[in-house]
Amino acid sequence: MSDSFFGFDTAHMSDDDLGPPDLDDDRYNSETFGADAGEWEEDDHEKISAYLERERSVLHQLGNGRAPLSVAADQLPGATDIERGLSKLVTDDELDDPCIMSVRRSSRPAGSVPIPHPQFGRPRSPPISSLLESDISGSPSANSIWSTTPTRPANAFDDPAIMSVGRPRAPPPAARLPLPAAAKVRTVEELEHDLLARSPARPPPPPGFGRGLPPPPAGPPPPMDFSRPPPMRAPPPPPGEQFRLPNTHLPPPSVTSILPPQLMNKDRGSGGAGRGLPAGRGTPSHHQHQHQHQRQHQQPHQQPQWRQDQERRRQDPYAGLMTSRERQWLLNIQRMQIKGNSDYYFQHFNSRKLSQGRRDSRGGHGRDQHKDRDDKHTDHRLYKPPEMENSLGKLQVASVTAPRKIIDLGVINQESADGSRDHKEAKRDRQTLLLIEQLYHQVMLVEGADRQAAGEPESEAESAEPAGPRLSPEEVRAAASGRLWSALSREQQLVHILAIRKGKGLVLRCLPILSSQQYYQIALTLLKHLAVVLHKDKLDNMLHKFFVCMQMVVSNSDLAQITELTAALTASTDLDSATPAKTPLQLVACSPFGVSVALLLLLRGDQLCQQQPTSGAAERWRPLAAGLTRCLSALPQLAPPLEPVPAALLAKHVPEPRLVARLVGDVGAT
Amino acid sequence: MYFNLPSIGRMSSRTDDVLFGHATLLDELDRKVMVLLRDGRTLIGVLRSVDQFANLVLDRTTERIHVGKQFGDIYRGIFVVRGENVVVVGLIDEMREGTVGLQEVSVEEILEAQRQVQEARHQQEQLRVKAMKERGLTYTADLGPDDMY
Repeated sequence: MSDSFFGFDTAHMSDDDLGPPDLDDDRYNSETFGADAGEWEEDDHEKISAYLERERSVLHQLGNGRAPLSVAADQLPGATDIERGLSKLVTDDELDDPCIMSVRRSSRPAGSVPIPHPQFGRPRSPPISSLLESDISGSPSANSIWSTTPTRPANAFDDPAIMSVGRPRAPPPAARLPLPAAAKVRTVEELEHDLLARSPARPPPPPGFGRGLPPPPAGPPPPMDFSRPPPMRAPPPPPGEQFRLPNTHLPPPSVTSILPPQLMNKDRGSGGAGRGLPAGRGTPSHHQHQHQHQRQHQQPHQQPQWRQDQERRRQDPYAGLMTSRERQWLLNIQRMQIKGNSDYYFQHFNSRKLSQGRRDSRGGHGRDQHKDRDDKHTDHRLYKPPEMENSLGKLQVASVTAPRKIIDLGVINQESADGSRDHKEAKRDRQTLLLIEQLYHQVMLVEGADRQAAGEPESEAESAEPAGPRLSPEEVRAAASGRLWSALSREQQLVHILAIRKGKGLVLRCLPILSSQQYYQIALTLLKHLAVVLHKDKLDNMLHKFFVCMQMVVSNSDLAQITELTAALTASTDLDSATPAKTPLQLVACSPFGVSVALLLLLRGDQLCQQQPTSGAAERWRPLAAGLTRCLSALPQLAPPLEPVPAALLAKHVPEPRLVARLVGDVGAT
Repeated sequence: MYFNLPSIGRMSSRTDDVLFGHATLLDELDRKVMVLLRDGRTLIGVLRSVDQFANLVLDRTTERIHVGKQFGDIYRGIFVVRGENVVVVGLIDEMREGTVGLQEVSVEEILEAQRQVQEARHQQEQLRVKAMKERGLTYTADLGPDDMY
């Protein structure tokens, strides 16, 4: 408990006791007031105040680095003396614990006055060296424990009630001990003030400070400080601030009347949200001096700048909890995050801002600013965020230094190990997809035109189409289907399209649009490259939808066309091959669609052939059909056809009984 | 109604040079903020400390319960909020705080009002569950009281 926030043991300080005050704890005990208080000579207090005045002025000079004012040597303690005294202060402070103080009390020589302990103990003042060097205005979490802002302890001493009572009364020459203690009261504030004067690097106080309090009626304008850019925190101290004026010994108590009207307010809870200020941190030094010099004159009317800052700090004792170091650390983390392109949103925002900046007439200035920011972003940290495009939605892991770090995923390409070929294929597939999109657009145009022609009302999407020169539906249709066909008529392109699932859907959809001749062409191409298309269709399983189309084609074709189709089907196959299993036909025969198409062709072809047995087409047809049949029957694997074929029909047209048996057998099995 | 715009980009002059285009909570330090939590609570306090996860330390915090046009404050002291539970943090414009048009009532009153609202909502839920059950469906509310967002 002794190491609490206040630095002394607060365990005993319970004012809630309803009982009579503990005599041991009585600050107004006999030692202070009564018989044990020691001898007071009449003008002792005058001597003391004179001495203290000198001390104060000396310290002020000391703090400003100038030689002390020329005072009578015997009266003025030398600088070294003061330092010694101040270092003694430290020692005294450390024994500030009232328990220990009572011990010291007893050990003091007779005639010396015990150092009274006010309710909240004395303010602890930091060791001199650390005061002058370190960051006193930090947070309680900073390295130095002295970096707490003074709170009630300081108040206690400034309280006029205590001042009148609690000042040590020993005659100055006799006991040096209590005097440094009394001088200490001033010196703490003096030292703080000196420190503030010494450190101009502190960010200036917010402009709102001037807003919250109306500017003082005369003298140096505190608001002048706040016109300095850049203001750290904008809003003024809220009116809800509890006003507590830590008065000094110098100004008469009437000063208190000035500020309360400005700051006092009905307060909720525990004092409202104080407008925390790192008080006086940024007040530049020359203003301090100004205030210092003019303080004598102004004292009755207002409080100097730093005093107001100190007040504010007292009112909001937790202000500045985050040190600038901690802030900088946080900023660094944020900076690290935006450096490198891991933040998708920031990159976009940045690029848009830059383009705006360039568009602005500021021109070069904008560019300079951008450059400056870039320079500031270059950070020599070890951590480099992984460069990944499409960083949206990636897995992220949070760590202390990188709260949103993207996990370095090695994307495994599942397609194949063959690098270059896959790149080409992937590229081609992408291009084909784009083409398919365009063709879909054409299809929709045609369909829209058809609907218009049929008299259906235009849908919203259609009316939203960019209205070029208003074409009639027929023109639109003609143009679109022309474009469509020009794309589909290219054999290789059609194969690519058919290799993609979406392409197959496209072809199916535009079949109603195309003419029968175009149909035929498509069917021809399909059959020619059936093996390839089948291979690609393994995952898609959409080819069977083409069967109806094939049926239509076949039923509309004459023998010559059938022959052509069959030739296309068997084009890549050596029908008389000794190893039929290795022919592309095997692949065809493995799929129901292939088998069905083959059967379709055979049946229809034979039908037509029997109708015109002597035509030239028939002559061409027969060997082809025979070869196909032979090959099919020799194939080890045969898939069942999509639709069951009646055995009688098969037997009639397919002369190969084994094949028939197999097909029928398969069908029978299903 | 309470909020000022937080410091983003040019409006944050302190961190402007460092974090162009980025919002940072550092400019809201030691200022009165309103924090909306994921469980629907509203906290108002002085923002003392933040970190990279948006964990917050709030000083002199009051929990403000809003019901309709009324609100009630419960003083809570110091809060440390884990960043993932924060929905929004907003700076309170203390000049406009008084002109918001809400009526402050006592804690008991507002808790009573809140209880009534929750009671009504609960009854609604019960009806819904019952109706669904009658139709042979099971109904579970997808957002519970612990996580409203």
